[in-house]
Amino acid sequence: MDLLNVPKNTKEKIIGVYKYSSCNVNSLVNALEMISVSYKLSSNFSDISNCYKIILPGVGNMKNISKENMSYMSKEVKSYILEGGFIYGICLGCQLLFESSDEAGRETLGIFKGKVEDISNNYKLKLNIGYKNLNFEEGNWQEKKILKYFKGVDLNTKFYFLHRFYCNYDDEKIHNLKINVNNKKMPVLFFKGNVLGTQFHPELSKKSGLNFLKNVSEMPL
Amino acid sequence: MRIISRLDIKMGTLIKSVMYDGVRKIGNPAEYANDYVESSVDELMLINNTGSLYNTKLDLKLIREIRKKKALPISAGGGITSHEDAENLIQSGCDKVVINSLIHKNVDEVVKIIDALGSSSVTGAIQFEKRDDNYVTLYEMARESTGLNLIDTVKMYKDIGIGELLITDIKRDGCYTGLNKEIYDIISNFKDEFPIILSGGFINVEDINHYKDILSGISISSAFHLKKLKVSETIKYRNKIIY
Repeated sequence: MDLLNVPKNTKEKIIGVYKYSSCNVNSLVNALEMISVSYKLSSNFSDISNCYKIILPGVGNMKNISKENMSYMSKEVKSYILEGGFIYGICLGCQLLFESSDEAGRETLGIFKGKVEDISNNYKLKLNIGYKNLNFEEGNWQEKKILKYFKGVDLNTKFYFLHRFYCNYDDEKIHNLKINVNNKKMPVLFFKGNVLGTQFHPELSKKSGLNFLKNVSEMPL
Repeated sequence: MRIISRLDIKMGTLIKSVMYDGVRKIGNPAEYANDYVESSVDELMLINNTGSLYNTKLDLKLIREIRKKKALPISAGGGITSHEDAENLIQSGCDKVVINSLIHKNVDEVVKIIDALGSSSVTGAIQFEKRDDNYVTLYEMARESTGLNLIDTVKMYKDIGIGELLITDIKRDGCYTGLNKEIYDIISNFKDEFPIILSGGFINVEDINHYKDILSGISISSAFHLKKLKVSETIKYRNKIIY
């Protein structure tokens, strides 16, 4: 789909949190309350499709999203984006944005080109856990587009990661940031059009994470 | 390396054992948790450490209270006997669950938990002690033997798909002896297989330096609870040598 050619977002200025399948929304909702962001939580996408930004939270196992639910989600999320809506996927929610996942063993939402693979395929690591620095020195990214989400954040602070799969993107036009993993670079932030994904959990990344989440929630498009 | 504050909770009270025995009362767990988070600790671990022994559960209301106004990872465990228990902890605001006894009593149920939550959200706890020249592992608050040694226990956890390890030296628990250095090579052998958290006896910040290349985290309880060490100073030391 053409992410760069969408109409202006004229939706209601409130954040939608999509509780798909069995994903855990607790930490995210708690964080949104800490930064006083108004949100609407629903497991029914049409309840929140009038929100100007929607977050796909992410804790859980991709396998638990049924094939039917995945294709329903894919249809809904795509038409929301084509109406000018903004999507932010966190961790599993970020992985969902790509075309397929080794964890699910099948197709996912197909918004970003690329697939989600086992970390151990490419990095000497089974599970990426803990606080890591983002590498602002490298990667294909445009300062203006991404840095606004880091306004007020010390770029040397760390963000919290907890994942066994990573997003192997396949589109030069996706702006991205990377982290260093055993001397190799792993892409962990993806941005194109009105779609943002982070492999890290801002809601678990202390003050800097909250600051980032507030920027993503409130920054005009 | 994460500096993890472990809070052992029994019937709503923060407690602390010595060598997994002789439990003493410390105070209100929510107040201690708030202090640690204020001091920028990396992660909280809430453990109902007499849970498997007495078949009790963590109070979910307390978990929800502790979760409030905290933007950091929280794991919880102790007395988990079913995947419903694990789901309840996650739905109450925890990001990971910690399991030991159930792995040795009903491994099929643990596999169900891993399927439901994803292996990255399941921490396998191992309690070990040195007997003769062997490291034996135990469960049910170190009362029952698993019949396995430390290395075989780690291998077994790997086979069932556990995401992260919490390894505790029972004889150092609550004793301020410093972390066990003898098992450095064992941990080193598994460092690419698991993120490993070591616990038991932490008192010297220099232990962070000793273990900086192979540990993913250190779990600390008494040294923080009884003010032998400040969280902020521990984090400061870690930042100095690792970042």
